Amino acid sequence: MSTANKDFFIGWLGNTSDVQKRSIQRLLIPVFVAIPLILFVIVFFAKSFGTGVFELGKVKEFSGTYYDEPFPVLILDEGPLEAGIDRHALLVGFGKHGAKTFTGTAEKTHGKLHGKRLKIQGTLIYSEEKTLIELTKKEQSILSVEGGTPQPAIKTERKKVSLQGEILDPKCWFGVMKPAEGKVHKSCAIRCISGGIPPVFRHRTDAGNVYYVLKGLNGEDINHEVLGFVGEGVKVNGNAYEVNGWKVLEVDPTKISYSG
Amino acid sequence: MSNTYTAVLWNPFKKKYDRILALAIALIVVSFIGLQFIFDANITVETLIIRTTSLTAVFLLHFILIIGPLCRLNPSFLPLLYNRRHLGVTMFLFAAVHSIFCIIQFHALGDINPISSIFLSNTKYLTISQFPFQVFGFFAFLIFFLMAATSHDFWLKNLGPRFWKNMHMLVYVAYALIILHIALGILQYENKLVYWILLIVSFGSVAGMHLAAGWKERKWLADQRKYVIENGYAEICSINEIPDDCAKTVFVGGQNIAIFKYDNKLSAVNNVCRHQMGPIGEGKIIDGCITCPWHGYQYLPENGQSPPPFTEKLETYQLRLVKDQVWVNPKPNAEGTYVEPVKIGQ
Repeated sequence: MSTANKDFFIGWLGNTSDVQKRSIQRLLIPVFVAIPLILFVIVFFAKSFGTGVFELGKVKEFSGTYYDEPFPVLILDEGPLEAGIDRHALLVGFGKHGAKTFTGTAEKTHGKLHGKRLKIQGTLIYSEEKTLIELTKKEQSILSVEGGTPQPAIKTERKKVSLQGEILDPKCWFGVMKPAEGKVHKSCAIRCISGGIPPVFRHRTDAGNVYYVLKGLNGEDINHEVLGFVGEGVKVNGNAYEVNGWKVLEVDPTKISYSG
Repeated sequence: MSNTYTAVLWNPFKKKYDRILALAIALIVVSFIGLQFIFDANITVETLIIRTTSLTAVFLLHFILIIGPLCRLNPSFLPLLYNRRHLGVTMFLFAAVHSIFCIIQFHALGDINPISSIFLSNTKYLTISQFPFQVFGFFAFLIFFLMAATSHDFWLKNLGPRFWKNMHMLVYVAYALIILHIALGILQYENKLVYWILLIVSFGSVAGMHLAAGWKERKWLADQRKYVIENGYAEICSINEIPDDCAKTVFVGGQNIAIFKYDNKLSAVNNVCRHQMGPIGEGKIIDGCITCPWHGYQYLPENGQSPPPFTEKLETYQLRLVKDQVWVNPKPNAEGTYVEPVKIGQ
């Protein structure tokens, strides 16, 4: 190649000239410096991920009394519990499904499970003193059922409340996904609640978050009625009470409004 | 260049290019993961994968889009253009990991099909802030897939350079979709001003570079004077205006023509390379061949044909030299037609 052509680049010859090398270096060196700086800004200003735990891959056995209504809860037997675990474990199904999706097979054999003692296997999800157990092995999650006299769940008195907050799916929120709120998680939360996981209303207070499982005015499931409000700021009015270690809020889903 | 099918045609320059690309990717991945664990180690592995891959893809996409106008503004950057295809396919692979992980994480194992879930979970299509941003990402991913799958000279040859090039211009549609995906997605959650500034600066740098390059091209077109035409020939310039082994490019009679001066001769060919429609007239005569500045495709100046065994052909044009003035007939000859070069000084 002649001297006149030395600055003309031909890729398959790989003849990068000094001028071209200098130009590219002047571009790439600042780019390589800028990359970590931009990433620093992105990470530094990002919202916190919270401390929720999902013990993925650690399937454990649990025993306790099962309550089907108003939503599936296993009240774990007396005895020492791991740090951060509450005795009142909300049961959720594998994937984006409610626990009831997988309790049907056991009910065919043992009749209604409500009030019976169960031994199950599942995966712990916990944070903020709330505990959930995922029925990771689906139908095989229920290991044994012992009969017993169904004990009525102890409920506190109902109180009228008017609250602002966000409707979340508790399985993701308490540890499976981060972030599990707002626009980025909206579709996932809709799928989880549509699949039978009880919708949970989060109300922020100065003392921290307060969580209510949402039910209809007659105690019925309103999963599909609330789907349009999931992941957004909403205002609800209803009757609040506590049962099986969880707060419940009974609302008229047609009267839920956006709070902006 | 190859005239037979080869999966990836490596050469030392491409290997060096890919090593620098790998270094840049390693810098992004290691920096992000490292910073994330320093500032908030509570992130889940899935979110770490989703965010690392999306950031890497977005960084690469911006760099890919800037290379084109950068080379138009300063040809010294042309070596960056040569292997841009590897950048594009690499960007697609990161976008693919991001997309697949998001579909599994947010849409799979539910009560409807995961692909349906992308479109049917959040149905607030009539709002802006709640618009289902995943839809933008989904269609951008389809475009990137189409582009990555056809990023090979096999497809370029079979689809034809014009169709292939037009199809690959869809990258701008995909880029617009990605900007919307970010603005109506993660920035509705991570809504601090600093993120909006980063997005606007990123978009502004891509748009600004394209506008600057477009302004330069427009200026070139505006500078094309109305040529005097006599007996079908247009008077172009003085012979001294064409540097040795280089070309004068003109737009006359609806034709984009490159007039090359070499070995005391003049020849004219169409200014559009048959490989990826590169500007042949910005190339040079190397070893007796017109050589495209983009990927080094070569053509013989007197007949516009690539030397055997290659088969690409350009239209040629008749030239005249009257005193020191170069005249061209803008009526093109069929591709590959031999035209006796005009000898200078006779």
